[in-house]
Amino acid sequence: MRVRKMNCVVADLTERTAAVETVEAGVFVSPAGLAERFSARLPEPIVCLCTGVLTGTGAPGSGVMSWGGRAVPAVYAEGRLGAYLRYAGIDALVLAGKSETPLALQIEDGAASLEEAARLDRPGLEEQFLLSAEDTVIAVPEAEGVVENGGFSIGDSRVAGQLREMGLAAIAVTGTGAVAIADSRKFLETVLELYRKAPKPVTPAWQRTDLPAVPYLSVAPEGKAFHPLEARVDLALGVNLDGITAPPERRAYLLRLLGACTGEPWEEAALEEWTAGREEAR
Amino acid sequence: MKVLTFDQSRCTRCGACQAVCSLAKKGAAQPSEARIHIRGAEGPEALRAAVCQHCASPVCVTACMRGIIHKNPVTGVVSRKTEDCFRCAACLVLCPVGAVAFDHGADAFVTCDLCGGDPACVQACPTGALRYEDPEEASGALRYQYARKTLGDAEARE
Repeated sequence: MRVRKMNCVVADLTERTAAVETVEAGVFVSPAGLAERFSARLPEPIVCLCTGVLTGTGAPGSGVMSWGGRAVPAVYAEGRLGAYLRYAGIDALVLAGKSETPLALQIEDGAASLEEAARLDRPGLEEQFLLSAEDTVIAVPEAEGVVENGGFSIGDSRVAGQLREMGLAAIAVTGTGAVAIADSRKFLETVLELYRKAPKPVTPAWQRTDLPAVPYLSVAPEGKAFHPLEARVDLALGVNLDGITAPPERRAYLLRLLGACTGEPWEEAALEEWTAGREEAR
Repeated sequence: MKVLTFDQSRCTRCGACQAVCSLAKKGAAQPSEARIHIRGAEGPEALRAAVCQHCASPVCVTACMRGIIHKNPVTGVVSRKTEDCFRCAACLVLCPVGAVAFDHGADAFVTCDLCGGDPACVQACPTGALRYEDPEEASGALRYQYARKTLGDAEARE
């Protein structure tokens, strides 16, 4: 089994502590699996947010992150939060316990803290925690879902409801660091090939098109906001290649991206681990 | 000389240009140190690309205290010898479009060098909001776009 060292922010809302811990986990670890690891020493409920190996790497669709835990449904979502966690040097969030008063989890380039939220509305939270307009992402659990900068929902209403019940008013991440790529030349080559394959607007250059905004690094504006955790192996690795390639080509591109990103050869058999794991879980 | 142009009506704010620029120039995904940034201008709906315009008379060339920034008289590209930068930030302060970025790896101020004539950001842009084209072609498209918006289709064609 391929393993990955993951830097996790472990936030105990009951004790009001937040620290960064490094754990070794399988490449395909799910947020529910990560929650189980911490369940012996952290108070319930536990909600986790995981990123994949390819999250935030710049490949098209590489804004994928996943939510899970005992009390929330497991879903993949696309947005800025997962990628900016990785730019901040963090691979996963482990949120546990309950706070009587609303707290905000603030992560700034590898350092994490829990702060009292002075106001609970989005403008108030942005005023308090938006450190940089360009490099900070604020995710706020609202009635309709977890909403991040730009108004995209990155977690459904059940995840948002659970986070609010835990007393978490916001997650603010400032990330100015880098996601390392082992063979950046080869990686860039594959990434550009994929971007060129993405569907383009057919209107001529002189015509205004006023395209709507899309989630971070997404090329499919009409794509689904959430995917079930059972969905696909590319999502488990942090990238959504929907609308760009279809199987079996999708797998070939995925293996190329993984090989260049990690610097190790990836073969079909490594992806089968994910399929086997899903079947076992079922 | 071709120029890098930006059509905000096609920009979906996906961030691909910044991510790919950092991959090309830094060998890692680090959008904060990309040489192109899509920024809001006068409100959330107006966007602009903060990227080197390779100005006809670049103020950074005049301002640079070490004289390491040059404009190539043939290609028109403004480039710099980053290894000699002593980080006075004169270029950063004076650049009219905010196109100067700091590269912590190189420990120097940097700007877009158009990737030697085939910009990675243009190749990656999924909607064609970023283009690398002749200035005449670019300004013609912009004029037509403006005319259509203000006068309507029929009058704009005249």
